[in-house]
Amino acid sequence: MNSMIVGASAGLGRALSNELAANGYSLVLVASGKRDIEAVAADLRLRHGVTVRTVAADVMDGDAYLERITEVSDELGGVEGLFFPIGAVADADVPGAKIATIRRLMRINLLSVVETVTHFWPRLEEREKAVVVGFGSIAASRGRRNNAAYSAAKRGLASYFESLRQAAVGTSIRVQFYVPGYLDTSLAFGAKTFLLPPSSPRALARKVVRHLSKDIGTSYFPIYWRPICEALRFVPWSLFKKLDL
Amino acid sequence: MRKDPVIKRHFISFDGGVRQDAFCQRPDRYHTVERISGSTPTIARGGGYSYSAASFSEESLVVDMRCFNRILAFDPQTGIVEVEAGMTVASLLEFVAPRGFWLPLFPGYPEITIGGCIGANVHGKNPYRHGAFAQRVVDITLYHPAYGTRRICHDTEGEIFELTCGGYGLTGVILSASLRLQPLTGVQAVTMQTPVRNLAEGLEATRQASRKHEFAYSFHEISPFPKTFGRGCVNGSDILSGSVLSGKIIPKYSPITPESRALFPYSVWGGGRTKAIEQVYWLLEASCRRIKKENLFRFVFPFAANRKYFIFYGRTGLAEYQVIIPDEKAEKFLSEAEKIILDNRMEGVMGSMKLFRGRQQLLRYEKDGLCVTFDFARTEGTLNSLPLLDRLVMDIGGLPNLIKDSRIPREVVAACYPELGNTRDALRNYDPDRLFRSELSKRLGL
Repeated sequence: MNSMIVGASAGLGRALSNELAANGYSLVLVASGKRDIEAVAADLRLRHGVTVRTVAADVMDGDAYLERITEVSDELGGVEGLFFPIGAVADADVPGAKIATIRRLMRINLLSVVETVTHFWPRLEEREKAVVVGFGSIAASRGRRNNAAYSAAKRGLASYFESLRQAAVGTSIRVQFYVPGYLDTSLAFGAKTFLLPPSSPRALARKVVRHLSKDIGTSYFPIYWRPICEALRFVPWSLFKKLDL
Repeated sequence: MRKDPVIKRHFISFDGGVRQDAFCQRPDRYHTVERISGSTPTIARGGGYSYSAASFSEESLVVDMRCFNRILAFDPQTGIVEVEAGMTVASLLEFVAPRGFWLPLFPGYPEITIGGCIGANVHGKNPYRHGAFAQRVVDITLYHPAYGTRRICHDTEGEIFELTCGGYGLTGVILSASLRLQPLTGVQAVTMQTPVRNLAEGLEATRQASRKHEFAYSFHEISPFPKTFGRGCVNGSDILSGSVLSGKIIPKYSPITPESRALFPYSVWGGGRTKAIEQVYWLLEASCRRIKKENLFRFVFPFAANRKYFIFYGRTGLAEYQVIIPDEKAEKFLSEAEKIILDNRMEGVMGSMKLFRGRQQLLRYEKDGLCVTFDFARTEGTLNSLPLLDRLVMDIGGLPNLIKDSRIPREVVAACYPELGNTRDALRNYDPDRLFRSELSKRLGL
């Protein structure tokens, strides 16, 4: 199976690339940093002996980015798996932040994924089997004053994947959506984790690959985040407004 | 976007001797490392297994390099592998051993990183035959804000290359390095054990074993009891040519960290307890066979399966004294060191010996002679007596290992390392602002 991983140079994307390569997948790795993505690719080729192509492209580049990833995936004979462990946060992601920051957060966390899936969907439908895997965030379970645009983008992404899952009914495409809690990546490094230890991105990557053939819908990782997020939604506004999350 | 996250962390040297809070960053992309500015003192950190505080300082930003752990290139024809600095030696062994290569001078703990091996110029089980780590380094990719990212080797930028190998991370952040591997003929080792009654017997048997076997080292009981002081075993080992493994090269093990090593509130070692544990150990040893077959991992990294040894030192930690003694003065050193330990009732736990061969330069722990290691429980009495060993080492022309001692004073280093001043000058010439600093460099006035 050929798979494309968008956001493959570090954290969850790198762990996922490694797990897929260990299972014999041929890969197209996409990330903005050329040196980082080349280092990941070299490591995977040497350790696992799989075919790995790289695309150093910025999702902010819109059509040029789409053209570039299409070109490289075609070189590999197309892809059947699309994985989006891409994400970015900003220090000043609050109402009243710079428009450029908000635009970038929205593009990286939501629009780039929607555009890429839209672009590749017809190709995936032609495949005998295909899978699209997205990654949300527990931050999207309830809007807060911090990470406002990031949370909104991730909640939008959750909704989009819900739509995709229904659209995929009757096709050869499986749609999966994971909601990770704190992961031990640079995104969460130094963040307040409220006594819940960050989980290993490798453990999540293993779970994703293990469940690729299953119709799991939305899955929280670790599983205890589901009741926490559900409970958070029911906290009364009079109390929630006072919380510093 | 989000600034590179920095957190405040509590750091402990592996021997438990230095504890400091410092700001820490954990980059996972090259551009994050290259955003290190020239305005804040900085020091790179790998696994954190140095006994001295070589990878942190309360004044420096600590750059945790463990995300940089990829294999970048490997040529099976030449046996040259290029790896990132944060790769552990176990991870490297896992990759190269099935391809018929290894490094016979891996240090004794599997979670030590390649950057750490270069910075401390580590050695393995028979430095007499295999030398020290610097001899295996072909080139280094080094980042320093004043010079950017450069690939340096002995032929180009020779001075900086030499300063970096065994330079304790003071020339910049090592991003990656190419290493010259050695062919591996099997993945099991056979060890012949020779019991010895004292250090003098151990010395003679170690000398003989070094000539006969690819690996040779001794270990001894050094708790302060005259009757049993120095009894031990000399191990002579060879790789079993053509041996294969059915399981994994790297079995499951539970890594120890400087923090987990120090979790136990009290030291189990010390006083009569050491003696009691050693009695049981020798009783069990007596019933064991004198020829042992081990898989490569257990042979290369004996402490991976013996984490209790370190945990037993507890929160207060251990004091390791490792020194190379000129061969002709080895007997004198051993008898005088024994006298110091016994007279002062120093809390000795384990001693070890191996022969060493190398040319001393800059601050590298390399010299011809006998490498002697003493591990003590870190008690006040022992710490007060260590200057007596310092004096003996200075008188005898020994070379203490700076990475194994978080205490050793600058005056002792100045007396034992003739190039301390040259190293200081070379570092200042290369980097007038002395951006890369650690507690170790501060202690040595570098």
